[in-house]
Amino acid sequence: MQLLANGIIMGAIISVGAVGLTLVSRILHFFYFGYAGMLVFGAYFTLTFFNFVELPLVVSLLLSIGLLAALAIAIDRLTFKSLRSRGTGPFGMMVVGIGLELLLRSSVRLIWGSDVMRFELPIKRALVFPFDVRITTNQLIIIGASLLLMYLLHLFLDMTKIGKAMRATADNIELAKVKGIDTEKVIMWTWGLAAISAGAAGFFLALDTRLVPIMGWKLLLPLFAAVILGGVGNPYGAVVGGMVIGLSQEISAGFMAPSYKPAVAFVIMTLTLLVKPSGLFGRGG
Amino acid sequence: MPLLEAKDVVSGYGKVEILHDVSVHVDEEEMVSIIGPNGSGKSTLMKTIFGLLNAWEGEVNFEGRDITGFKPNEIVREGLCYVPQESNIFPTLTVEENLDMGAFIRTDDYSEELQNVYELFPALTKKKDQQVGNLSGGQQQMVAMGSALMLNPSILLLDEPTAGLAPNLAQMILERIKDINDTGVAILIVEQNAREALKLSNRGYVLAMGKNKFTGKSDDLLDNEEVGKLYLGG
Repeated sequence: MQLLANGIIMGAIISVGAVGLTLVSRILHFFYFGYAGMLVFGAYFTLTFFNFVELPLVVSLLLSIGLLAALAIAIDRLTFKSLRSRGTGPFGMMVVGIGLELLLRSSVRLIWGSDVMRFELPIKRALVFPFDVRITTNQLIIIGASLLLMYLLHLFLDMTKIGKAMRATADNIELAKVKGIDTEKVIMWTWGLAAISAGAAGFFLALDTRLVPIMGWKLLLPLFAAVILGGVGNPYGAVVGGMVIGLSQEISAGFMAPSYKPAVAFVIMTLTLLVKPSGLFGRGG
Repeated sequence: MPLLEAKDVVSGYGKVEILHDVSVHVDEEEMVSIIGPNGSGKSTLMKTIFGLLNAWEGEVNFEGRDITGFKPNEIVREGLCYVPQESNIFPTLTVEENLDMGAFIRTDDYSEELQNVYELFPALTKKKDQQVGNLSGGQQQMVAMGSALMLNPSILLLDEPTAGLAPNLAQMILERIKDINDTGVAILIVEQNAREALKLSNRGYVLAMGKNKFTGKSDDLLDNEEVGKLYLGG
């Protein structure tokens, strides 16, 4: 049961992060490795506002997301935008993305150092639930906040004009242009949404564990697995995929060494690609 | 003055020239068919008119204004709407959301147009909230055309609207296109069912090898022996 609880917590973190990654991947037509850097920056920004500026936690997170959105859009303007207008293919984009990831990760080391950091929160005893399941208040906050965030993202994508345009652009960018949708503007919004998603997931992961510059890179594989399992470009699929990956990883720890957790994500990703590359909810092969 | 005019257009993909000096025009409220064998440049012409491909030479005029070199999202604001042959719907969006996207550039109320589309294609009314990717090919085509009608365009460019449809469905779609034309919307249509399309049209163009081959009133083309033998399947 404890493993199940751990799985739900990990699943919530992966789900939140996967929503942004799936939309970025689909709308920009490549897997963005720099997303790992966004997760790390999100966590370290929040930590800085909270530990050093001593702002309330929620304010720190919101400021961090704003800063992250600005950073993501600036990076897009400086790199991907001109590559897009030159018609660079997905492979070239991906290589640039990997370069950006290295740059972002090194910047974290440069700014905050390589030492392990933590949120300076009072240590609370874990709550004990039936079947001797132990969950900390922080973990409850993570689950609750993830659900709230995913519901807000759902409202945004379902009800607002720009949200619908974002899903339309993810479906078919050429047709979106034909309909008069300013796809560059949609891309800016997508980076904003990715910042919320990556910032929150990075913060949740840091709250549940600790901050190290490599944390985003380690979460990237489960995120990609969740995105592929749910069907690239499908935010709802990404949420379900995230939960499945989180649960499988944690439950596997019950009968395998915990160091095999990434392998579980990798196996699920590979099986998805072999059996149904369009993901659980994708159409066709 | 024609509503839409493509004059001596040269265009293609990459470095491959597909269209060599093609000219077509459509008058107001007219329905015009473009027919010709595969690879004759029909779709290329449509894409060039709509700014998805650049015209290397020649010009495209709409209502007397030069729109050569305009981007698709600028052209759509001029009153031209285009339904591509493939991927002409947003599969994970619902029927109603697809129609919303058709009206994306509008900031005013478009419930009347929405109503008109459902009246034109009653089959869509019950499917409003279904994902379009789950609908049949015929219904998807209805959504694609309905979405293009949301802007009250003065001309609709249709690229093979009946491709892949069963004959009775294809006939139904063509009849709806004629209905749309009867409301005053000019139509430029590329169609594989050349004979049926010509019957409904005022005029037609035959393209071959990226050049104008024949042009004339639909009846004249249908009666023309050579056109009949080579391009209308005998």
